[in-house]
Amino acid sequence: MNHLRRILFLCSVVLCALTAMADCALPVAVADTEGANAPSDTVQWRRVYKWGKVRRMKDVTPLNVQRNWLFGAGYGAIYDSYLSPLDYGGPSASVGMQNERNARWNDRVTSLARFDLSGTYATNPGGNGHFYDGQLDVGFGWVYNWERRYYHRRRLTLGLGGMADFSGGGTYSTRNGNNPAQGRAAFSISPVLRTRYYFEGPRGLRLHYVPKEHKLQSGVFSNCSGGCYMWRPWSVQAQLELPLVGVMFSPQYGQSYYELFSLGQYDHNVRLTYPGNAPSARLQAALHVPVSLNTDFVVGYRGEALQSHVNGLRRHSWQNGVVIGFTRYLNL
Amino acid sequence: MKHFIYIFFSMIALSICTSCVTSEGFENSHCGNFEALWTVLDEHYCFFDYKAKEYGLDWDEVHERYRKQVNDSMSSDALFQVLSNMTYELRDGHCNLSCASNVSGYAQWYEAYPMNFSDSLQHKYLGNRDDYRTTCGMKYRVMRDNIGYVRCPSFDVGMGDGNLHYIFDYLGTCDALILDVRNNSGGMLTSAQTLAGAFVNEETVGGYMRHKTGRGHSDFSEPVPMKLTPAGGLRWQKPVVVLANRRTYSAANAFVMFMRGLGVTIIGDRTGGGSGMPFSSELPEGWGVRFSACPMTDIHGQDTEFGIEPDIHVDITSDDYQRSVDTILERALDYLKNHKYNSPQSSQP
Repeated sequence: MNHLRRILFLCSVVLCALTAMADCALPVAVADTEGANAPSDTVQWRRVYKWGKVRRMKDVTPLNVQRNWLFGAGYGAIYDSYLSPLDYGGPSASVGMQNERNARWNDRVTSLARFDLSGTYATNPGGNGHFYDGQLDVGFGWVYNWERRYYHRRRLTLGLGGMADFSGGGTYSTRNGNNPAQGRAAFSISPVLRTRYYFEGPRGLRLHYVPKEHKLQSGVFSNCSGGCYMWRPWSVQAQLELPLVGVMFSPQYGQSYYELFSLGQYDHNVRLTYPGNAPSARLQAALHVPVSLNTDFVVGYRGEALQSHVNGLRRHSWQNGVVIGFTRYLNL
Repeated sequence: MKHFIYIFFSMIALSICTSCVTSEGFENSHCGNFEALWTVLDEHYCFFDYKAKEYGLDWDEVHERYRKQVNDSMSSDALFQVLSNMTYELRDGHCNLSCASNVSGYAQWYEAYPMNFSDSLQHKYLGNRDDYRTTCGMKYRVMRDNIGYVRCPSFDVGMGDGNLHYIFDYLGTCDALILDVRNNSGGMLTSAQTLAGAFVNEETVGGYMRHKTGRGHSDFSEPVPMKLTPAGGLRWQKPVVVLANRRTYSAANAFVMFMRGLGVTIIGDRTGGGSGMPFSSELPEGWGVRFSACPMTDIHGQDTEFGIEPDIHVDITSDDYQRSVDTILERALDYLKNHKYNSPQSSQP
């Protein structure tokens, strides 16, 4: 089974299991104030002045922000027909940060901002040639969430939305002459599918000490007079992005970068992308383990299949790796 | 919730309908390496149509002929020799096969012809180290009859307008200039353009370049002009001749092409050619292959892959070597002595 289908199959298995549980369980409302989707009870306003008069009131309620930092390591397989007809592979590393917060205009909508930096050091089958590959992705988007609650404080959140992604990077070959490197720049719009399932952790690991009158989140204070314990759930989260449409830069089949930049020749170098010529997917699945009131330890999987077949040039970058990081819950 | 599930699975289906982008999957066997080399050249080499016209090259026939010589039981050295012989069918010095022990290359474009250059003769005319100046790989001095001489052995070194400014400032009192690019095997095309730009006063087209747009032998883009930008410092306005021989190749051949387009007189022997910008690739064995990918033509659209004929053909004979006389340089000095007042710009088309 090829790599892209493997990622999609894995994601569909995870989501099928979760939706099966959703159909079987009975919904139970539980008072819970976890995560970035928890509503804020106290709204704060600020007057906006113009020409010495109050023109409008601006909602400046601090929002619950979830900031995820993930550090990954794994294996990358790279093929770029502009540089070589062979498959290269080797270790890869990544650093990613994703911010999530409620949209001010709708509590059920989550705003996402994602920054990913990854690099791969790949070697050819003969071991005498190397690719240095680097990629930077920046994405912004919104996801609408549905939520269902169950017994024993379990909760399932499913989200569907879209993300605009800007990516740039390049691959450098250590053995080529006039075609030593390939640059990449692309913009795409992707549907985003997210799911998060909250559940009780093992006994002894689910409660965290809350000091006296500690501010849990915006407008919500603990009722403990002398300190108490607060329950925080574990969770499993998955996020899938499937770039649907966009544009990308690509040299023409045999075009040199000398012609592109020194001679200033344009030859279909900006191409429209769609799943037929750039089938790609990004999947991230992680386990969140609460370690304190506002921090989770995160461990999971990051898979990426970025492919293109434009201007007669074929390219793929298949990345698989383990990610470790942390999530901070902030009031900003 | 149901709508969500329908949307999700329809997107999964849409993505599953598309396939992975994979490589050709060449086998790492002797036959696999042969097929890889033949296919890489078939899909990327840029002179098939031209060479079919020039000497009847048929790449499919070459495949049939050399396929019979390859089998999985032969040694690596033997395979390298057979594959090298196949690349020699292209008669292209830019087409090389390289492995850890050897680099193959078609050399008939210069080995079958007189050398027309000698390091000893160059030393005799340039003199000792104190007799000439050197910058960005070029050596220059004033010769007899107040004629300047610039020796450019390679375009592998970057050169800037500042370097050229100081050369022409030193040679500015000379009445004419000799540019010697004999035995210059090429280098950076941008260096050749920079040097040629010192002989034009406005942006001038020096030649044209194309690239392949597909796997077919005739799939090419429209020619794009290669413009010579006037140098930012001093520019040469007086007569100039260029010396060339069979080992003037690649970017040096392009330089001669640019100067020929400006109406400059070429003295010496036909250049070696090599008007295709080479790209690199590799075989499953790990061997590297280089081949011409982007063809260049002169301002009239003529191919220069097999060289540029000089305006004045001169060879250095054995007697001349014995007498330590660089006949080509002497011919150029005599020519400029009689044509000191014809500048290259006045003879531009």
